[in-house]
Amino acid sequence: MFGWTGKIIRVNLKNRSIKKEDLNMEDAKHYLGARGLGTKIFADEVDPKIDPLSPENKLIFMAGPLTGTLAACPGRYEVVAKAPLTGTIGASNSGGHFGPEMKFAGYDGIVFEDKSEKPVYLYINDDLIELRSAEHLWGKTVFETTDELLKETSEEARVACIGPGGEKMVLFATVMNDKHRAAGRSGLGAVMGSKNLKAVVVKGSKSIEVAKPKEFLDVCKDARKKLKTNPVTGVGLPTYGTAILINILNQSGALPTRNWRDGGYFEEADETGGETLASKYLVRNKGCFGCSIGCGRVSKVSDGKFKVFGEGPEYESGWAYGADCGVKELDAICKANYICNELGIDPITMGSTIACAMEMYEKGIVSKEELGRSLHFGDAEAIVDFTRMTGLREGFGNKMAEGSFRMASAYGHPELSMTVKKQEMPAYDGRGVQGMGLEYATSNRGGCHVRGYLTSPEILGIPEKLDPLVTTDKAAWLKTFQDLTAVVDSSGICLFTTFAIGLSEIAAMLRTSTGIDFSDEDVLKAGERIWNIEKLFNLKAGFTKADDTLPPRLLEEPLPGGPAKGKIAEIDIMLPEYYALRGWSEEGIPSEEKLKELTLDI
Amino acid sequence: MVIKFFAYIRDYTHTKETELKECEMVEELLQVLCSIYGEKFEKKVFKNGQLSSEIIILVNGRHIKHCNGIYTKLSDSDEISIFPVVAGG
Amino acid sequence: MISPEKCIGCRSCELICSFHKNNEFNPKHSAVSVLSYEEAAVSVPVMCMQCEDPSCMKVCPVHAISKNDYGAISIDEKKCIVCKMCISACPLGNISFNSIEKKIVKCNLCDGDPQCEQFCPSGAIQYKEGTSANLNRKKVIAEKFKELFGEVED
Repeated sequence: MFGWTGKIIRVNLKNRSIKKEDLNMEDAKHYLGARGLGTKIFADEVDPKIDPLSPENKLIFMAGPLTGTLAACPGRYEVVAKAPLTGTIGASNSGGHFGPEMKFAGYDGIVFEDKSEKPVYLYINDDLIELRSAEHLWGKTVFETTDELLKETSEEARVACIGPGGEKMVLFATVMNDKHRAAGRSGLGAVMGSKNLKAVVVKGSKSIEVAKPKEFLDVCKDARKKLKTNPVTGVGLPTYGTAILINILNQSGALPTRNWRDGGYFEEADETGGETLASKYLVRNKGCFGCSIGCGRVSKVSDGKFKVFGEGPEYESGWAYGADCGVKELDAICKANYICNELGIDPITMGSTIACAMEMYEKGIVSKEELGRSLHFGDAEAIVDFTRMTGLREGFGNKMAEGSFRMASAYGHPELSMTVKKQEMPAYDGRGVQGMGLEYATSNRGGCHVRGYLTSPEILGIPEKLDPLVTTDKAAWLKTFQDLTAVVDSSGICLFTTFAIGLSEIAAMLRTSTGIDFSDEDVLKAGERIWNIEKLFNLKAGFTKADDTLPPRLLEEPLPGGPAKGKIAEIDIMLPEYYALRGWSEEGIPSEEKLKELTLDI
Repeated sequence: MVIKFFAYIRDYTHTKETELKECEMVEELLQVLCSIYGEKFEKKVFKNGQLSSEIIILVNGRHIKHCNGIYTKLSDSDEISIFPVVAGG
Repeated sequence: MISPEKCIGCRSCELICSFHKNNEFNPKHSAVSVLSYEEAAVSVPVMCMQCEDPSCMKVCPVHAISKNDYGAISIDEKKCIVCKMCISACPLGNISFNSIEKKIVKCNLCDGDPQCEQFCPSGAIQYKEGTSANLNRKKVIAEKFKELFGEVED
């Protein structure tokens, strides 16, 4: 077997049965792996209408054909389930070393079914696979759990686990692996918690083979060279990490500020950006498995009340706790971000939910008594305190644990929640970056930036510069980006590679590793197929065109200043064009012809 | 006008921002800045006499590509931001 | 020459080493291993240091280990009987056994073109003469003195 290992593990948590199955190679060819193949298996087996936190939901860990090879940034795997935060298909991607280790143990993926009566973890050591009690780990943080499991099994093993956030089914709980890496969005950690599955520990000693070693080596060398010589992946990301984006989005007037209320410019943004992080707190760069970029930040705040030693923050968490909450103290942001990793919750949704509560408090919608304290924008202690309380579901944190949409709706103000399909939008204002608005509205997992990252052409000019203020051609660019991103996520490589390489390099890596004679078009078509199967799942789950929209603030309140002053997000112009380009009806339903073209008609 | 520097451009300028007067166009401004900050800065901004593709220049938040490139007119109340090409997510 | 302060812990070296030797990816069959220490935030690539007085060479009963043209202490697979004595003899633990291929895994500097160096993204692994490497480290310290006590110019 080349690229893939050809085996998956199926675990029924209720009757504790463990089976090894052959990978369906026809599906592997059509859906590649990781996100695509995980979703295909999931959609074939699970009724889209189920409650995400019920035993009927399944949880799939899936690597891709390039995971664990010498490909460009090959450390990725995907976690797939129906998402509790959104009710959509949930697919979350993570790096680190866990995904490759799963393949070295001989498996492309693991399917978890049903629910265990008591807390358990799955231990895999090559051919040995067993469910073990995790009762002694329940209640422990991500870091404690990981350390104990490594002690209990082998220091060479890799751990993916949940923290208290997942156990308590915080709707945006993460699955954490290698301590600081997160399958972060949509609340898949809560699904793991609902199944009483505390962790997956894997150790492997087998080899991954590729079909054409010499050719594969050549294309990987070429891709790695391109990453090394590219100014973004070779200099910018290694030097500053992702938080370098804070200033550029801010100067472009598109860094959402104070729950998106005050437009796209945060006066103190520089204090929270990648430059400041690098000069004040950066200890060392860290790379995921086989990574040649190394954007990870090992950071340390040495003194003061926010003293902390961990990883991050990334651009997104830096924004969610920073500009979005109006907080300028980077040490507090580091601390809050650390607590998210420790308790296993998503900092984008967490920070945004605190920002929403801050606006509710300032508007008099929620009282000091209920919150247990005041909660003004800019309160650095509050972001730390409420993050901890939410991860543990204590006090008002219990309400925040439902995410901003459910929290604000409970007070009759859903319009203050900056969400799409109940998931918080990330750090690019769709009024100032029009294509990103369309991206959020059409993403198959709700508000999300990594499904078709149009910021790249619209703000950064990669691969070419598009005007962020116009709607022209954005639908077409988005479709291509969404399909290509599905390919990247499903191959098992990192999305950041696409700043330096494109479809032809990725297709070449897939061809030479798997031995399947994919054309570039076949590969992109697989991406489109993956996009459509996700869409079909959501349609069956009850989502309609009415859900492909943005919060009223972006559609009705023009930006107050900056280069996009007076702009709203012009979704009504772009959405019909997008549906048409996708071969979907005016209601956003894939046509018979499109399904046939994608071999999804059976 | 205020000129703000970001990322490793700051390594060449040793300042986050500066103020200048009476630069009519972006081109002139860049030449003045090159004369102040020297060779390293110039090498980053210009490649073979052309504006480097590895640099992002915003005038009042607007990328000069969508204005008039290096011929974009400037006034004393403008804010100019200079970045190397960076990305994240 | 290893510079742990530059290592990002990506283990690309393990990948390319196993691939160069066996045409497959398996960190367990690599002659280089990256050990990470989370508390100290340091990762250290560990590999054969090509000793001047190699225990492995001395212990080998069939004289399969010798110094090759590139200064590497390397194993002649034709002579090797895979007795694994060299694994026990290495005081640094840098020789291991590939149980699938049934052979000894040891760094031979890829015949003067170490692949781990080529694939290391951060320059943590460099192949150069010991003396010039030392000079560079001395320079780092010397430059600190220069910064501290030197005349300020600009």
